[in-house]
Amino acid sequence: MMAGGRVRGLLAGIAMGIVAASVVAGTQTTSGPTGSAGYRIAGVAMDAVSGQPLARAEVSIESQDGKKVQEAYATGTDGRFSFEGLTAGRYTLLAGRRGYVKQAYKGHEQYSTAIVVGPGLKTDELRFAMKLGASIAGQVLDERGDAVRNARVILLREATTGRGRRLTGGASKYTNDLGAYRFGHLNAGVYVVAVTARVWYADVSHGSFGSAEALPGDVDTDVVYPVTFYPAAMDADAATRIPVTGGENVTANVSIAPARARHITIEHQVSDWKNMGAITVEQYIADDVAERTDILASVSDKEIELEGVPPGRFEVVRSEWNGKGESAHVASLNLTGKPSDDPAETVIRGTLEVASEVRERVTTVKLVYGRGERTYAAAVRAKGEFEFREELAKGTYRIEVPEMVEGANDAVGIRAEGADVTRAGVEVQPGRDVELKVVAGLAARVRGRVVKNGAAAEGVLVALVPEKFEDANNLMRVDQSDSDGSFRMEDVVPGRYRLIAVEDGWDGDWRSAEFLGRFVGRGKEVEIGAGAVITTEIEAQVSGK
Amino acid sequence: MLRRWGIVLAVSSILAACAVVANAAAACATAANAEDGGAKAANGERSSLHEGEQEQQQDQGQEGKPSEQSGGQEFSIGGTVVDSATGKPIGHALVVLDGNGRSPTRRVISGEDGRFEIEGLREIGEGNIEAHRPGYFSPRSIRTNRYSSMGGMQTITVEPGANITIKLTPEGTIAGQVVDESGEPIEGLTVQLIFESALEGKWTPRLQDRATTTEEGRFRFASLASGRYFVLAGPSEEVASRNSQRGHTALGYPAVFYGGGRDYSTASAIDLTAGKHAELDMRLALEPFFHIRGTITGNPLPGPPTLKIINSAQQQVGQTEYQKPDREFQMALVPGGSYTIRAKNSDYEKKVCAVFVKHIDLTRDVFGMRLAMTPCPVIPVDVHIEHTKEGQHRDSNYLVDSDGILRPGQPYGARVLMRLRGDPSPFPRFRSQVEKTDEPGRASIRDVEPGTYDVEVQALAGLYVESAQSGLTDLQRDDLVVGEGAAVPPIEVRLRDDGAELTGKISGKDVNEVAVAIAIPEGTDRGAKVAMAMQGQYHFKNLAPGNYRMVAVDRVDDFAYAERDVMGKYLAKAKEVTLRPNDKATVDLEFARVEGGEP
Repeated sequence: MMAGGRVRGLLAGIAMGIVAASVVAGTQTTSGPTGSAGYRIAGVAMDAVSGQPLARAEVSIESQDGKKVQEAYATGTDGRFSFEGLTAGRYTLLAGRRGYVKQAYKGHEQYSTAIVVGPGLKTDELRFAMKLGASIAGQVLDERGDAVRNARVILLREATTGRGRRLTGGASKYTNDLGAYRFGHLNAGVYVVAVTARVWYADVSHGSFGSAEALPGDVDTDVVYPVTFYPAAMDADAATRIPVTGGENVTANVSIAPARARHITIEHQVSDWKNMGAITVEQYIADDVAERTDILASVSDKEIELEGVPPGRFEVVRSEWNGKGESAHVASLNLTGKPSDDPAETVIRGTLEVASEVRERVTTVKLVYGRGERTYAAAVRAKGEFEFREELAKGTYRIEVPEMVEGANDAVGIRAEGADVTRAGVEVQPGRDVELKVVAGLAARVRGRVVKNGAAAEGVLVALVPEKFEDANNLMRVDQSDSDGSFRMEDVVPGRYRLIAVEDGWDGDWRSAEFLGRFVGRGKEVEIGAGAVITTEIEAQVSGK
Repeated sequence: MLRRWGIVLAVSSILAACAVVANAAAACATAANAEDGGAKAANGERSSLHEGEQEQQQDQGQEGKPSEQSGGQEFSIGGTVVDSATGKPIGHALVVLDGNGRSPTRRVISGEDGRFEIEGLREIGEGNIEAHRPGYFSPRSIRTNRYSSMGGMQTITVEPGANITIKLTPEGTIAGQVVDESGEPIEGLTVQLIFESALEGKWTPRLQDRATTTEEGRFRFASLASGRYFVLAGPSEEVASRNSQRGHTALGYPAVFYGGGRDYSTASAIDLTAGKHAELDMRLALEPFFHIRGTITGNPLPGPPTLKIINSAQQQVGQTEYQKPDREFQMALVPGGSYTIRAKNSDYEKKVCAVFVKHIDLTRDVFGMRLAMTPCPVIPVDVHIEHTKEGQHRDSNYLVDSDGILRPGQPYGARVLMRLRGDPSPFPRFRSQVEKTDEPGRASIRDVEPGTYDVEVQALAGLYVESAQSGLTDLQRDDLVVGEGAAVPPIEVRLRDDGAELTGKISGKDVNEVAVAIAIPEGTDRGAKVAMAMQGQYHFKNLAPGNYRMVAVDRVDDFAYAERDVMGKYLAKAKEVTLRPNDKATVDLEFARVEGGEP
């Protein structure tokens, strides 16, 4: 099962402690005389390594079929949990406990095995092997070695994308009066710690009477703390990676030092004050992670003035007061001192291949940045050619084919030269031209069941591997089989693929061409047309390492 | 003469007037609240307040006092920032010298030894100086009434070689760990910090902060002023269960105070002095959790009522769920104990309100509880103003007609605030409102819930409260008990304009120490007035005639002067005064520091 937003939310909130679950547990299970009616999900929560039952684990289920069943159960000393009287369907099974990761049953990143209950399915002897959580804790210290309180500590995780490792955003915490922070319940992985903070003596001074000019001997209060990475690095690339394994507790102290605040004036035009919403400034913590800052902007008819801007890369965004939550990009700022981060004219050209049934409707291709703060359009010519020639800042840009959007049923596949492509879009380096081949069509779906020796196999890695491995970043679809062996893949770009199922595939570097190459030979070849729904059965291979 | 900023003065005069009789009026509370607001505003107004102080002193005639030398030789001043509790120097503190608009504001950071030096000064004269440092309070702020607080800057003479000591009060901290019976830390448990503040001189719990225990079961509260605190851990949600023949029994952690008690009377207090740290170990044991289910009748509105279950620590616990139809409810699992169940549904615009209150001792599951809602009491408020001074009311900002009766929809002569006894919220539960449809001179307090209330009557500037009664209950002395479904007699408020004025000097305090004077009316533990002293001088206006006991202390936040055992310690320094209408009296006071506070 590929997790929906809900589970991903939980995983993102790993450090927030055990998520409080609804506590009406048990009331349903005991109500009514029909104890034998309905189905049951039951088992034992245990430590993944020792196999010891875990008391006080909070186990919960959520229906995936849109029904509002959500129950929580806290285990006793035998580690047992039990949900009864359930209607047939698919349930996500989750567990959390002090010292452990908040996790889904057999979870791997965003994939896990859902429990399917119904006639003939056995779901009452589950062994929920829980992985120990790790923690990263430390102290934030200022230029005088004093603890910094209320500093915001952001935990970034290094994720494998197949084409290198990227930082993804995660939880954040504020330091206490001792400057201390702590992230618990972490998955094993590689992390980066970033800190933003306000300079207390500058904060105290602002707004008081008198001029801000500093005379000899005075402390400079026109200063800010740049985003600083563990241990004292100024950008994410230079940050020390913190590898943690399950159960490990790592200390990461961060030292921060003030930099001279910049005051930036941006020219702009306000045509309609009525729709003029707030100006917000977002700062890049890492290439794909932007965080809203509390930089103050004052706006006049012709100018936006930003006060107290630290070094870094920023996007200035204006929200439109039209009730739709729309926002408009105002400016990109590069105050890193590194010219390579400046926006530069970049050419993105390519061809668009559209499935026949909608080809005639398609006249434009769009390049969209972020949440739509910046959108560029290019016309599609007779043979599907298009070209963008724009002043682009570094970042990941989505390709959209607006005329194709009919509900959410379209899929866009991209192949690129001169840039990396992920499912998030094309990674643009300013000034470096990109050649694209875009395939668009109605999304297809693949459904199926994984079997082994004739029986349903749960927890198996299922991958739909594109014909060319180099497209895997963008086109590969992955799922994990549920308790009845079933899997589902949505949003499949039409084309030729091989479907593989690998029993202990999650333990390997499954995104790598090397890994995939070992299994595609015995995979199932599938040709997927636009909008197709394919149902298939596949035999699990064994990774064997 | 000293030059000043006109705009600043306008602000400061409001604040100064406000400070004089803190318990006075609406406008005053608003201005003071603004000061409570964002850090920026607070900073600005704090300085301006000080300007006001100087202005005031100037008004009292200080001709011929040496003022300043302009453009003289450069000189420097120095000093030390010290911890008021330990006397030790404070390094890395920010020292701000406000040039009173004549000279630039100067900011320096003290060295490791707490020493600071401000060089390149040219103007000799008065200046305001203050220091800041995370972990310290600066300057000492004082709660002058329920809704506002003020702090004082230190006034110094800026002259060559001046050596200044700036004291900062260190913050206290309370931290601890919560473990279960087996010693394993309990994670994700809510821990509440309750400050025992003195409201109108009576001990009143006030929720100060809230934390959630970490993975190690730890919690921590910082930035605490000295005073008495309680720590309450729990309740948890269901954390374990046992299977039995009846199904499963839910278990969880109850709400327990530090020291093991379930309510304030059995809890252990934590007395924190400036800069002290308290480390608390708490151990909780699992208990069965119970269900409450039942039906609600008499709900006058389409939506379900707000249903609250409040434990003996005055804390709302659990969540309520409604089944279809809305009148069937189920409460989350709660630990055993004494609870108050409150159901309420109201629509202020439609003037519809119904309420139900019930006390229960929960020792097992309760099914079939019936909550029969009844209409909420409405308490009319009648305000009469006795004008003894010709033309006075015409200058005031309240409007009365030729019969001396307040017009509806106009600012009102007094407002009535009702506070539920034991309620830890810092805000009053109900207040009087004037509506267009009400008859002249009458306001009402609507949507009231049954309970026991402390009623406070605030008069507008220029007036004092002569009496406030509801039926036979004298609200200046006794609580107002509102019964369920019973009619409450109107609150009759009598205001007069012939109040007395009281001023005096406060002796025995350090020059830069903050002081407040408290006027405590005889024979009641309510209605005391508080005034912040300026330059050692306090000033009350519009005091009701009568006998008062006067004290001068360093703070009022946690000074429970209405509690007999507390006041006893200060009686030696208290002064008694009898005020008649229109009196202008002077009583000098001897300064006392509230015990348990700064050494």
